[in-house]
Amino acid sequence: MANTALVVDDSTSMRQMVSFTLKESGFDVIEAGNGQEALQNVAGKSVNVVVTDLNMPVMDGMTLIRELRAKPDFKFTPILMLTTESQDTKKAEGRAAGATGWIVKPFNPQQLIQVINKVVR
Amino acid sequence: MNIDMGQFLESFFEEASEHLESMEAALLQLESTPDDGELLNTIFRAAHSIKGASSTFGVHAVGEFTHILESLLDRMREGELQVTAESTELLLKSVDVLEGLLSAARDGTPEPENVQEVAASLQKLNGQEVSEQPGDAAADAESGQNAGAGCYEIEFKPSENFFHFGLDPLLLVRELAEQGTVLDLNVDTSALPPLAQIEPESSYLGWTLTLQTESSVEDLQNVFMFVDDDTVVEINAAETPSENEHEAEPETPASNETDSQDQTQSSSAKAPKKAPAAAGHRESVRVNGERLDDMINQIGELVIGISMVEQEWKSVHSGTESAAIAQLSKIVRDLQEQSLSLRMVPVAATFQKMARIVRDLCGKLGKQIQFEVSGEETELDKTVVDQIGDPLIHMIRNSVDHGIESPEDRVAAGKPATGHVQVRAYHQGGNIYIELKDDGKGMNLEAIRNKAVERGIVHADDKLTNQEICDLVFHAGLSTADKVTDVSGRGVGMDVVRRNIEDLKGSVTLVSEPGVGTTVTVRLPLTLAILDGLIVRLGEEVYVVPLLSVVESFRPRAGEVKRLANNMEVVQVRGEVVPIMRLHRILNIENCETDPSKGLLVIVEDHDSKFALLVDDLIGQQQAVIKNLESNFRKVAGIAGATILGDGRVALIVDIVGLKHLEPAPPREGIAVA
Repeated sequence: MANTALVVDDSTSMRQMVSFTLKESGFDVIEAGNGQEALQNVAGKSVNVVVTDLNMPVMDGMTLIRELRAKPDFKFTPILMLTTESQDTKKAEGRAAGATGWIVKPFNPQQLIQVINKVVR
Repeated sequence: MNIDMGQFLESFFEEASEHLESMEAALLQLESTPDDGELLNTIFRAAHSIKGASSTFGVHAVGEFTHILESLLDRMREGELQVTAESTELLLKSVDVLEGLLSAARDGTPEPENVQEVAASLQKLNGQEVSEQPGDAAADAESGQNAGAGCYEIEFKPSENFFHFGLDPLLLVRELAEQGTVLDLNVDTSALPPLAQIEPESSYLGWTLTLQTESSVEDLQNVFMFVDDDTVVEINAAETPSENEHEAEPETPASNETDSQDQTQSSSAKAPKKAPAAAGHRESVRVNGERLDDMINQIGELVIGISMVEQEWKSVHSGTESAAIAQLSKIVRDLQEQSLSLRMVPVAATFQKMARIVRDLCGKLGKQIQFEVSGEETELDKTVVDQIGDPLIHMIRNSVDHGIESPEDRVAAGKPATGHVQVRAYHQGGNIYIELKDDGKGMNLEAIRNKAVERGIVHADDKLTNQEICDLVFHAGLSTADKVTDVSGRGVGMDVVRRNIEDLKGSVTLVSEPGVGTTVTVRLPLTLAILDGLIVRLGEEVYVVPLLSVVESFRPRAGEVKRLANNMEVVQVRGEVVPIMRLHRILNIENCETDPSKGLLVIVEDHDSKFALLVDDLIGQQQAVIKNLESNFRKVAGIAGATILGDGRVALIVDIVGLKHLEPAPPREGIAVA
């Protein structure tokens, strides 16, 4: 069975790019435009990896990571944050919230897959 | 994997301009409420999103500029920098620069000249000397590939909490293995407690690998980039083993390669190209405009098809109705209405541009203006919205530049120092109206009249009402400004505005009262794709007259049609003298009724003037799907387009405005009409 990825980004183009790349790599993809939508869209579904942007309206990425980690189904799910800040503060903050890793924008599909492969196969 | 990033560019450009719009709107609001933190957040978020996406999609000029912008906004958001009038001004300028950079990237237009200047001002405001170059991270990730082959001993002991970060130690071991040849692998089970004490969610194992690889130490460390601080990772150079020791070439990388190939193949077979994800309820879906138009056009054909079926049924079943066809016909019409609504967009973006212009002009001209907008959610056909922008902006410039007086003049005239400019959009009877109203000094009617006389547009002894003088401003070549400024009066006059609006099947009227103000009202059709038409017969041919222009139709009694001294035929309708246009003569159609008392007169109105079309007969009324004549044939004067009638015949749609230019001048031509 194919792995399922949750892709969360308020930017349509970024979301399209990440989703498309993941689909090309064999993932089923669930998309959402913000944290709240993500929580709604994954209800009752099993997800193998989460890729989320941090800066989003309604519910930001940090909150989403915390909310997901609090769910039994997402206790061990790899969660990657998309970040433009390469500073360690965001990474550390994300880590504390329960993120597995990060992908620093800008990135290309190859780089995305490289990082994804670190956390899910 | 080879993925064409170009396919996401269109989405990127669209969302970037949406972000810029919301930035601009928030900035304009920020001027009046500089303490609103949420506005700054909105602005920051917009810049942040543009930055992230632009560098990803290779639009680096935008990425670099937004990077500078973002660092400044971040400090403002954190309260480290004050929001001042000066900074807002600069931020608005930045929005313009970004707009320019985006269109440079999209359309190949030249980049705005002031990019460096504005970037430097942003940095100066932020107290920065040099800009960091975004994109370094990507370069970093690709560097460090050139180390020679080496042998390493790698110790990897995950922390007990390792799984709780969503990490899987086996994946990392496997990733290491893919980097070269595993010569030796030992599992350290020393930390493993007795079975009864094992916590299934904790990690107890450790690994020691001897790896022969061409990767650098940096690359190997990169494998562990996400591990937590309590995890032990040690990478040490080891001795290169002798030749015979690594005969058994690794199976892992090879098998993995086929693995991933399989994956790619299976996925490309089932992942549809460009299809958006099925999951999730989204508020909107972006659709290419052309595809939308194609669909609307097809649905238009469907409407024609169904009415052909209807007519055929009637002819076969001697005029009886079919309930099934009636039902189908209703569904198709509803479908058409829905499909047309897909093209509708709110005028809000255009109004926002106007707000910006008013703001900028006020600063430039030293005027105080309160700009009010209402009905910005009113929706119009996208084509109409796109094309109405320039005329509206021209008119708002006029209002601010020539309409509203300087604060001193206003006070001297007994008015409040701050002027009012209002823009409002509303629906009325199948049309959209956009009204621009200012409480400025109004038009100098005397000056307009004098200029019109000077240019020979009217006679010095013509008696003109105030309204007739106002209408003169739409006359070609009559600029109303006393002096040409660089704000308005750049050669594009109100006549061009009127022509643009008429091209959109709309009309514009202007009412001005000296000392009180000016109101310009633009009427626009809801859509350009269909029109309600009155089908008329001329000899053997049928034509469609846009129903919106039709006032009434009647058959004159013999003798009611009079001929004026200039050979123009007129008819009196309730005391009003209306010129007659013999449509058959203009369109050159033979075997038509030439006696008005045996044919019919259709009175049509074009905003301010009426005239009567002589036709043979009225056939009926029908919604016509407009087919462009220009793209299929060529532009024909007096004809707005073509359509297919219910019986399958092609009929031409009469262009009322165009007809006026073909017909010899009706009376008062010089006054009322351009």
